[in-house]
Amino acid sequence: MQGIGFYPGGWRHKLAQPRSVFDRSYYEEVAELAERGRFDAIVFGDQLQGRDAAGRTPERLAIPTLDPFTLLSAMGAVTHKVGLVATVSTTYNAPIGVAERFASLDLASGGRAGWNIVTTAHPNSAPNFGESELMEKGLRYQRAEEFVNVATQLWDAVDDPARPGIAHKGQWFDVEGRLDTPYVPQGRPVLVQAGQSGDGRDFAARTAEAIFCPAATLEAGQAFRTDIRDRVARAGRDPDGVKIMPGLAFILADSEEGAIAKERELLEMADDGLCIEYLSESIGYDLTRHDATDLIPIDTIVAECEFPAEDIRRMLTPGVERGQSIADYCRGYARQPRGHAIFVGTPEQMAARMGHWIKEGGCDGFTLQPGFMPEELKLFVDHVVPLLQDQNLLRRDYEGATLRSHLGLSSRR
Amino acid sequence: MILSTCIDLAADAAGPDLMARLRADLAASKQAGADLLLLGRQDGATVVPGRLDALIGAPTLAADADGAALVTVLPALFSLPFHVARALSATDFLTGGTMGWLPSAIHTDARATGFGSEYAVTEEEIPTKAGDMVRATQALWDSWDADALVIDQAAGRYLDTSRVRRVDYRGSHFDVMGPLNAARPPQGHPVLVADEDDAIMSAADYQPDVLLVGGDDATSLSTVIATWRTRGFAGRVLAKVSPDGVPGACPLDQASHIDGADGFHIIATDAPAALATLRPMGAAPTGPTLRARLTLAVPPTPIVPRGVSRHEHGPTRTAHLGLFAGHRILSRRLAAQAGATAIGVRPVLL
Ligand SMILES: Cc1cc2nc3c(=O)[nH]c(=O)nc-3n(C[C@H](O)[C@H](O)[C@H](O)COP(=O)(O)O)c2cc1C
Repeated sequence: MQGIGFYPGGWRHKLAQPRSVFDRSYYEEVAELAERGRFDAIVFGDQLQGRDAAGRTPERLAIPTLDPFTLLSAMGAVTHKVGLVATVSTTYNAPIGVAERFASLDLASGGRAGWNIVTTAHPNSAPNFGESELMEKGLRYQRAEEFVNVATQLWDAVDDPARPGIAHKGQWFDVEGRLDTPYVPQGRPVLVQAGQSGDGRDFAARTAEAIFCPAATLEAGQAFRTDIRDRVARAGRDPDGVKIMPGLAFILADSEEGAIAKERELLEMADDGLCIEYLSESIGYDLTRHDATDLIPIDTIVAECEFPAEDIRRMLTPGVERGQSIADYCRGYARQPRGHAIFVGTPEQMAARMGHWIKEGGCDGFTLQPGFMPEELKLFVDHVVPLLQDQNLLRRDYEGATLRSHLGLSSRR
Repeated sequence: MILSTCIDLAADAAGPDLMARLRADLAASKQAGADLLLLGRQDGATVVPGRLDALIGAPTLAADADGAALVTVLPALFSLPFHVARALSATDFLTGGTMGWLPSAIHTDARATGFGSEYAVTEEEIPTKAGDMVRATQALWDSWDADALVIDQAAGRYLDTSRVRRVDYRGSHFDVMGPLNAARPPQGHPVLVADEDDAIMSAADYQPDVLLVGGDDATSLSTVIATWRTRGFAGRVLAKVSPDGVPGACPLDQASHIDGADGFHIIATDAPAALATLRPMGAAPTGPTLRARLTLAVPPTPIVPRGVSRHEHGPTRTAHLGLFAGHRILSRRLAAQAGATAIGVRPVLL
């Protein structure tokens, strides 16, 4: 989950509750909903940069993102079973600090913590932590690997009060000590990862127990899953010990036409101004400086954007070749946010499609992304969940109380 | 009259009972009349971070505390302003504007070796770095004006972009560009609490909203409070009292003889009992936010012309790793690994 839902214009929907995302009661309601739907976990993505482009924060996007640890802790307080997965960077933290925070979340929730390990990819994060530039991705992953290794040693030492603590000397960290947290119910929180590159996949293969990824089609899902399972096996781990859960955005209605109409309505709420700000934020260049009907000013953008020039050039070139205006290109971009699969249809169709993906080896589960919140999530829980339960694809009740047990992962205790 | 006490995982509980016990302790303190619950523990008369990470503890206990205010006790030397500003913005929203925080400059050997060389400080740097952490965090809250959020669904206008800005804070230990990716907390800044005994009080121009002060008896404590007032301290003063004979705290039975305090901070193995004896001495403060209850003013946002970033960042920044005055969380390692520039980053919008 993040903010108000998957579609950038979703916060404007009449059933969306954009102000309630600042209230505890909203998160309590959503947490209870997820638990009623027998979800394995609630996951919050996270960013470490202001959501501006060249200093200008968009006016038309629902921007503020509340801290995931805080939200998940509040959600854990009103639930008993559903897992709580927080996204935390290994680049802008210290291993013992992160290990302690996850140990506390695991303790506070009775064994439901998971860590979505990210290395932080946005260049504007660096100056929020005293650095002028993001370090290169290969180095970020190297640091991540040692970081997770240290955190794991620290968790393992909690259970063994006789041990004096850890003494780690590595390439990145020298850590001597132990956590103050007296008890970590799961032994170790569940490790989740979302890397796409070769480095990212190898890192995931060596460390992750669950993987979040985009898979726009079944074939893409199958290819990704096969590749990861190979890498996991090559890393000497059991491929069944790694659950692959691609994103699945959805819009539900009781007829297919109804759902299509609802999607159209949501897309129309993303007016040109919103779409232009949406792209501006994701390339780190303020397109609102230009007339919306201008052709894409690719050379200026590439020279001034906050992301690496070659990536942005590659991304914009098809639009330039088609001769698109800024507004046209941005509208297209905002229709397909983030490369995840999007489902639009009835609950029966959605349950069938999810079952088909599982049966065909496209994934082990899904990271659901409601079109807007909380209405679409409610529809899913009330109408899709019972169908999945009838197909034996989803538990009718939780068997265990920890996230590890929900995911069928080995207990580390 | 304000009553505060610390709350943390009990040292004599274990395993799955730890949380149940913490909730029970909280309920008992609340029932006995606590206004402020500091998520931390006592080291003698000094408040230090607890065994449960307070940034997890506060939102976990927010529903139980309802009515009482929570104060997160944080290790200032081992926290990063961007993370702290985010977390406390969220907790202040989720608690309806009743959060406080107590950044502690405690620097134990155990923490120092746990955090390693990236966080190393000299003795002299301790108050400077801790104070800088607090100012950098406050600067990030100031990157959003109180009226930045518009949230007009019909017009499609979520916020006023002229009310959000990069702050480009440059301090002795922390450089933070901003803006924060979280709105200004409902209280402007969550209430800043400090313990007089903490090294952070030696930071230049350090101005907490609430100060915990100590003294071995009512007379010496009254003198200490008078001295703070003479020096111009305008916030709320809580006198440390204890029934347990803790050096640096006034015996509980002398509490009514302490002059000039706005309330009491209780240091006790049985805090609810001590709270219950003090509560009849004065009514609990009331108000929608913690600031209102403590009659503290809401901090103004800095005056910045509309639509102008205080420091215009160039569209591109060049690498000068290791030269940047700042937290340098990575520089030392990076300096050894030459050629670090940002490559291969794909725009990911989440
Ligand atoms: C589906 C997905 C979700 C992600 N979520 C986050 C996130 O919430 N926060 C973050 O900093 N990075 C996130 N990432 C970024 C990855 O952690 C990684 O930094 C990025 O994909 C670049 O590495 P790669 O080239 O190996 O994929 C996400 C990536 C993917 C594919």
